[in-house]
Amino acid sequence: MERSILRETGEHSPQEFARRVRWLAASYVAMASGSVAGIVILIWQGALFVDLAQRSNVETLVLAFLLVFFGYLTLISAPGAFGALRLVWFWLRALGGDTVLVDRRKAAALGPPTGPHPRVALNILLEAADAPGEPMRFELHDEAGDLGPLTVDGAQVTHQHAHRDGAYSLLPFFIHQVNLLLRERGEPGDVEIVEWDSTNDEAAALLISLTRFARNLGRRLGEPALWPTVTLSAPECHRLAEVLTTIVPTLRNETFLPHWEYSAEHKLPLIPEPLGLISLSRTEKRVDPMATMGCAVLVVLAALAVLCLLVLFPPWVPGT
Amino acid sequence: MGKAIGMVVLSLVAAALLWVVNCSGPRPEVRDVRLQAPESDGAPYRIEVEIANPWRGHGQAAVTIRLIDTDRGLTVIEQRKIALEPDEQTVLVAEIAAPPGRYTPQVEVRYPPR
Repeated sequence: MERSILRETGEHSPQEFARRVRWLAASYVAMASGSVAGIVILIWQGALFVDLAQRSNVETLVLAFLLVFFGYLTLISAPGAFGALRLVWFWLRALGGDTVLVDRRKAAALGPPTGPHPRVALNILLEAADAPGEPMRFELHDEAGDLGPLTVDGAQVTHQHAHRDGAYSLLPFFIHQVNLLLRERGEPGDVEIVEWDSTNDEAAALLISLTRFARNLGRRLGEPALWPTVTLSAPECHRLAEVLTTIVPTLRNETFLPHWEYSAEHKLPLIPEPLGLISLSRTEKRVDPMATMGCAVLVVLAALAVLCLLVLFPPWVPGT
Repeated sequence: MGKAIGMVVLSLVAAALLWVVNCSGPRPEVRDVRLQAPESDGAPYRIEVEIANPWRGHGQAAVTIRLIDTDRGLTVIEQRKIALEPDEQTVLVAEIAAPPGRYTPQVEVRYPPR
């Protein structure tokens, strides 16, 4: 479940991928508007909340914390909300018009690439059967323009983006498609992304160097498959290229949204602090922004609902 | 998965409803205000305030009574606390020792009390 919810949220098919980007855009708008609404309610009903806090033995500083919390989430989500509104604007312009022309305008609006290329390290080496040991290159372009190639060099998968900061979500989508092909062959399909530049670039660089060392050693020893290797046939590479082409417009849309890349940790204290004798925890090296932003939206909406409930139906508090 | 999410949403709605039904305070409102001038020198002003709580919540509310003499720019303030039960209508009678004047009464009832 954690794979489909946290790691590869909506990245199983081009349709799911497109739906995911729409939800991601909507979640940025919901988070920004919810956070601004929270700040407005806290300021507008400040006297009521201070009264309630003072009367119910709740620390009044909680209100300041909520203000900072909503302010932080407003800052986090504002670029995404702005990007989502721009996407809506482009969508309206494309209604009944030339979608290719609108997509070209989107590409022009995105501007040049910034920042390092999104890069991940795999648990295996991925090679093309007709060019073993050579990097594979999948072009990401359509009639409206080029998004930069996806290159696979052994365990290293990189999106050499052409606009802004590229798209990390492309990489798990690609790996999922590779696994689908492997399962069609009757193989387990257990290619995994094990390190992400976005959340731990040192570990990713170390693993990639290690796989290169294994490759070099294998060549020297005449034993090419020292490190576990998966080989893709030419038709499989062609199918991968076709699938990647279908998501180019969606990727272009996603590039309008910021890429908040986070790792995640879930903790379940069975015996809570201060004893803290037993605590269950689980970590993910990278969580899809749809999952993190989706959770943040739920928290914002829940906090907003509680504030509205307190304003509409102030709770009983002890008298003097 | 859908069922689980549905159950969570249903539980949250139920918790919110129970909160509103059992844990909310009153919603006091002023229905009527009557001011009686003193019949003799030195006697207090008598003010009767009709306060209603049309909501099922209960608790203590703060009543602020202002006698405003616009001619002299003088305000006399009296504060009271009242306990309101669900769906209750009550009359608060207050006697305010104020200097003679032409007063206009102004009453504010507030929950939660300050």
